[in-house]
Amino acid sequence: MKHFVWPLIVMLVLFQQLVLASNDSDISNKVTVNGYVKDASNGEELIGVTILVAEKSRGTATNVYGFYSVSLEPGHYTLIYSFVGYKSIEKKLELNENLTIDVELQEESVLLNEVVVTSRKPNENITRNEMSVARLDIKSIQRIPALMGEVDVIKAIQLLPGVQSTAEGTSGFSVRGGAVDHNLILLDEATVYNASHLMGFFSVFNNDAIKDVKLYKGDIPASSGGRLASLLDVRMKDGNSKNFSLTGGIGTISSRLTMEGPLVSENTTFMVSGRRTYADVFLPLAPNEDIRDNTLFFYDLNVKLSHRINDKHRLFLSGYYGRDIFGSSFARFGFGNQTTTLRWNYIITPKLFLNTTAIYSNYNYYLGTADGEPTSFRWNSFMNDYSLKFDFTYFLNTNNTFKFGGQSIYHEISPAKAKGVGEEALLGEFILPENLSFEHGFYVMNEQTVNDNLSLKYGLRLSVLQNAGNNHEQYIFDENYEVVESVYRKKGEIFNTYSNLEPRFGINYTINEKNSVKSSYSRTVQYIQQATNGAAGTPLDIWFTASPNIKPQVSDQFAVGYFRNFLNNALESSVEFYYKDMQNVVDFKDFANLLMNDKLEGELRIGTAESYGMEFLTNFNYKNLNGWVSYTFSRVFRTIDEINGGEPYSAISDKPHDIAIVANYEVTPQFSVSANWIYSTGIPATFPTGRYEILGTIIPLYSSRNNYRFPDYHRLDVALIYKPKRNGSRKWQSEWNLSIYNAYNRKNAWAINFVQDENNPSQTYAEKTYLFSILPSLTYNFKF
Amino acid sequence: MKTKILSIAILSVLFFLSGCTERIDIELDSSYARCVIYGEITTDTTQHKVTVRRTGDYYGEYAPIGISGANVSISDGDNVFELSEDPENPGVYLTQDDVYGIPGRIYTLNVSNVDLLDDGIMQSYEATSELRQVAEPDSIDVLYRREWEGWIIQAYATDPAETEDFYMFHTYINGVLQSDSLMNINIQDDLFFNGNQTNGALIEYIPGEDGLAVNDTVTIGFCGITQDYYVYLIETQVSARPSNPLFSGAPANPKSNISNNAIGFFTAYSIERATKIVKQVEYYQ
Repeated sequence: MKHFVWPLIVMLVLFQQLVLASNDSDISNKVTVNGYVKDASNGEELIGVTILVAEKSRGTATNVYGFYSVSLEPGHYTLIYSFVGYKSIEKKLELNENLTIDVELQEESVLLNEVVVTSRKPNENITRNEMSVARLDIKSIQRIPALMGEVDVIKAIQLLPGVQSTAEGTSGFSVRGGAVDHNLILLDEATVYNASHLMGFFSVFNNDAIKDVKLYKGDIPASSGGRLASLLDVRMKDGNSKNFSLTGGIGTISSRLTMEGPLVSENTTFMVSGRRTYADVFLPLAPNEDIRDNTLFFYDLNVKLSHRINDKHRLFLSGYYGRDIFGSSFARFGFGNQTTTLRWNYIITPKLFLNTTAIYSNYNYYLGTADGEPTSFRWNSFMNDYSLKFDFTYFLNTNNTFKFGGQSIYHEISPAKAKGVGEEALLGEFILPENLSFEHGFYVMNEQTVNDNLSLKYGLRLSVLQNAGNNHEQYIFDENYEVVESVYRKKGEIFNTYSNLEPRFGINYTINEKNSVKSSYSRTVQYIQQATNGAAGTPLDIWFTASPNIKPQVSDQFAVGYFRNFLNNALESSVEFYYKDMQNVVDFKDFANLLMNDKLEGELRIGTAESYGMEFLTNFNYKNLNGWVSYTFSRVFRTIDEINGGEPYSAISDKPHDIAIVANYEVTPQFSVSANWIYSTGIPATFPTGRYEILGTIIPLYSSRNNYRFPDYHRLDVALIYKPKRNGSRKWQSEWNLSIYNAYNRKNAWAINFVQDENNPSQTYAEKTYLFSILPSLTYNFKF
Repeated sequence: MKTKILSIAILSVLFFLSGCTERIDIELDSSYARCVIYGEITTDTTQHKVTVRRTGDYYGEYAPIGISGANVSISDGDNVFELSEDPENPGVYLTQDDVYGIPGRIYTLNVSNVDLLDDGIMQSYEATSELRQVAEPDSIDVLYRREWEGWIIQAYATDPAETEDFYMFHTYINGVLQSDSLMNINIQDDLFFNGNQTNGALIEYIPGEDGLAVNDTVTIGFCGITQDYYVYLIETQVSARPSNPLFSGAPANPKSNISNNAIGFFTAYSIERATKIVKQVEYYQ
């Protein structure tokens, strides 16, 4: 705990200074309007609502808690609150003293007549000083055709430019040439270490429980760090403060139910959301007897409690608990994430907002044989994060929003504990020592509007990693990755510290209301990474931290973009170019053994990576048709001395051309059609250039890494959505969703293998494995 | 053990992946030819074999391409055993039938006068391997396991505590070697029983109730192999198995202990045997 103390002191000193400063500005005759902006229908706070002071053509936006604050000289003003999908509200006010104005926005579209007309400040994409960012609207995600009807945030993200899936159907994604573990995935600020269910075919995010999703592909704000490539910020719903409501769905493989509403009074709300698959229910029908006794399912539970203590204080308690369980007569296997977040919002002065968060995050898995046999064994692995975080937002004036804060995380990783179980256990015990470390981050940043055309964003993050002893020997490796000595470190002893400064910079020049140019630079540092061999990753992947043997990974990214709107903002287009240089990237030696290996660090090979690309995106929103078209050209190469003879090789995410077309057309208010089409260059692969025989078996001979590619990947998915007319005043609303995955039945290769013919052992051939043929599914959703 | 655990993991997650396979045409380039040498010397008194071959194109229907006319010898520091080419099998070189290896010695394979590219330029290759003593087994058990629908063979032996030990198992039924190819060789390290009784560790599985019968003689050869050879066998088995994006890293060539950019391995190991005659069908509890 003592490691949390000194950042806390720094925070307190800064905090005191700011409270004084914010009082000073009161003397300078300015008064402040602040408050929360909410959805009128359910009381959910809205994130990123623009508040424009018409008289000054300046404004601000609500933060992630829906809070805003504007300081102005006394006078008459018009405040315009606008947000995508909601009707704008204008408030005229005479400002003489500090005011609190909470605003509720009505959804633009009446639910029965769901013409999505955007009412966002029409050219917000042009003027906002933010690039390489995508915010996905939960409602539009729900329209995207989904695998087995399971609408999924991560699958939707994979359709954005610069984001690629790493294999068919997986929840793993690569952002701008990064690796899967270069993405920081936060659910209510808690790290989710494995966002996949069922080997990645589904993600852990249950759409019904989610309020907001935002992906930063670069230009990551200084308030976040710890990963090289991206930040996926997912926020859970707070719970409906107006009415009790029930949302649910019955799908082909799973069912969902969400309950939310006020508890006792409007000041306390709750949200409980659950999901469970029932594929195992059908297993007894399987033709193969061995499969009938298997268990196979996953579940998710999202819980949130929000309480408004008074105008200044709010508390939020949220949690996620999910698990996958497999079992058969000979093996059992389970994995899952658990997160708990406790947040306290405190409006210290009308201009100074503090959020304090305490976070617990856990990922664990086990694997074993069936119990009750002499050879039974159980293998467990887990990782825990305990974290404390302070985030201050200081709404200095209409031209500057100043943010600062810090976070400390205690990482506790237990890579493997395997042992025989039962009284007659034949197998002994094998335990890998825990890996303990502290990770800290402190930041200051400012968003500054210089004039009507120019706005800047600049910040600095100081990140620190401290390795702590674990009462075990720590191995020290030489440059050949051989152990040269081991040093005993007692528990809690800090034996290694890394620190890095991470500057972040962004500039937006608005040429006119239709055109703008943006540019950004960011340095990101990553201290914890995943040991994974396959492209798709498995639940058995473990994470490990930087150490005296492994330097932290560092990335420098430059991006420049041109943003342009057409047809009265019905078409929003952008083109972005980026270049990324990465140091100390981690790959693994040939035939690396990543499991139960106490010398894991010796399996790593360290080098550099370079990625660059161009991303083109057009969002269209015209009458009843909306969606987007994206095209990405990107390359990524790694250079590691011991791999591929030290020559650069394509990283697994090197897919030069990537196209996604996503469209939704509302035929009638009751009936709409969605479709998406995806095309990407085949993934790089290492194929043989010869063969030989050892002990009667043909072995492929390889010459270089990733010297070939899979056939190109493409796929069309279609969804038909039918909403029966609402019956009079009944609250019940329902929707049928028929999804067809892989509509033209393309047999996209998931794996390609080179095989020795069983019947004719001197003959060899290539064989592909594909996972999904055309796959229809039906889902029924309801709400009341 | 690690590989077994991983196999269980793979099986348990792949059973629901109802993936389909089909043949696919992929054009592959040719690579330059490399020399493939595989040789063994064991504590058995027999003709020990070394093969000298070259790699070929990946596709095509052809038998391994032997290289004739090489000079092949194995030495242990004191003695040099010359190998002569089997006239029936080009590229296969054999010792005399009275040769045996001695535990504790280091064996060196020399292969010279190899016309790898058929261009008259001769190459030579060298490799060494330590012949390690294997712990003498106490006994084996042969049991039928109903739920696995097959026979299991369990080993009882004491693993030496002071060394990290690696085992390879040869199975003979009525004197006929069953582990006759790369893919049915079982190997194991001592991770779970270092320094202890192996306590009936599972070393072999014979599928089907008719896999064994009463009065069959089951013999297990316990081979003490080096860590390098253990790793080589794992890597080679991995290379020969199908890969998938979940568990497989990029494929690569297994690490050879032979010089001059050759492929393959030269290994020396000791063998101790334990035998059991199946008197009646005993069931696993």
